[in-house]
Amino acid sequence: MNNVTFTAGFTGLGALPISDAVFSGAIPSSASITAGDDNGASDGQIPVQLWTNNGSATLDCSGADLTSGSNTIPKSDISVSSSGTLAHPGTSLACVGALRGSSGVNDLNDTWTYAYAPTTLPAAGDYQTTITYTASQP
Amino acid sequence: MPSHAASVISVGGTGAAVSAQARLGVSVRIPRILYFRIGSGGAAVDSVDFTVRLANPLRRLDVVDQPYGGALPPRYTMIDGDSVGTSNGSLPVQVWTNNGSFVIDCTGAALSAGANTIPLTDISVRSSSGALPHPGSSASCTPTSAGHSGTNALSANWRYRYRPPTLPPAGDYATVLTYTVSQP
Repeated sequence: MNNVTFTAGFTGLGALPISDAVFSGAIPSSASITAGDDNGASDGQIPVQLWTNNGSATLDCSGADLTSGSNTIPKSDISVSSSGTLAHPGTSLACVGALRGSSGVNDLNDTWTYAYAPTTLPAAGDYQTTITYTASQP
Repeated sequence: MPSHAASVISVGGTGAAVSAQARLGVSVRIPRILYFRIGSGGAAVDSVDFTVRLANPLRRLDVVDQPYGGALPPRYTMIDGDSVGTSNGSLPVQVWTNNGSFVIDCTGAALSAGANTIPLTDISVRSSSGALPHPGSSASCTPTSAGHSGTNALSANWRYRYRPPTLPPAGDYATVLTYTVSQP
């Protein structure tokens, strides 16, 4: 299973260490988020592929909100963009089922880029979830 | 070369529905952040200054040496000032954290002028907000818990006052208080 990981820091302060650190000055007004993954691209990008000889397929996903103890981050806060022939089913992890491909043989490829840019920084914690993507045909 | 750990091939018979699933783990790491500011912030050390003056009818008595006649007035007044522009002994304070409640405390020696001292308990402090209280009712601090679980964005004005029952020996008394906000 591939993973996408986001780490929050403060704009203008570089990468904020996870361990305790001290800084002075006014509190920055916004957070900067760095994205990484475990498939070598290190930028929150995942290659995806759908091959079928049976016509178009419905692409969807399911999964719970990200949780850290009793705190949550809604799936809708994780945006996803596409650049190829296999668009993500919706603009965030709160997926909307969508038809992909056409009749006959389909060889669809894409790179999905996951991003997290919250307007306010959530409570501290390691938030996690697992998203299950499903391609189905009638 | 990218791995394809989450890939699956599904083969169905003619006319049967078919589906394929793949899983993706998503995680967000939010570090613990605790921000604390007293006064103008940054490296500057703000100050609160008190000047003792005699009460009416000598309210305008200058702080520099000068003689006056008659009986000693029974009372005196305090003029409060600070270095952040509010000029009333008030300092703005702010705590921001995404890591739940915290403990405020302070440490420092008594104010001293040569061998003479003014105890920290003589400097009273009152907060404008119960959500961000001063740790104790005087500069002789008592550790105090504040905030709640999750994110806290708190601000207040702490007003410092000096109303001694008896006038201390003349002198410029000074100290530096170090405030600490901590979380387990």
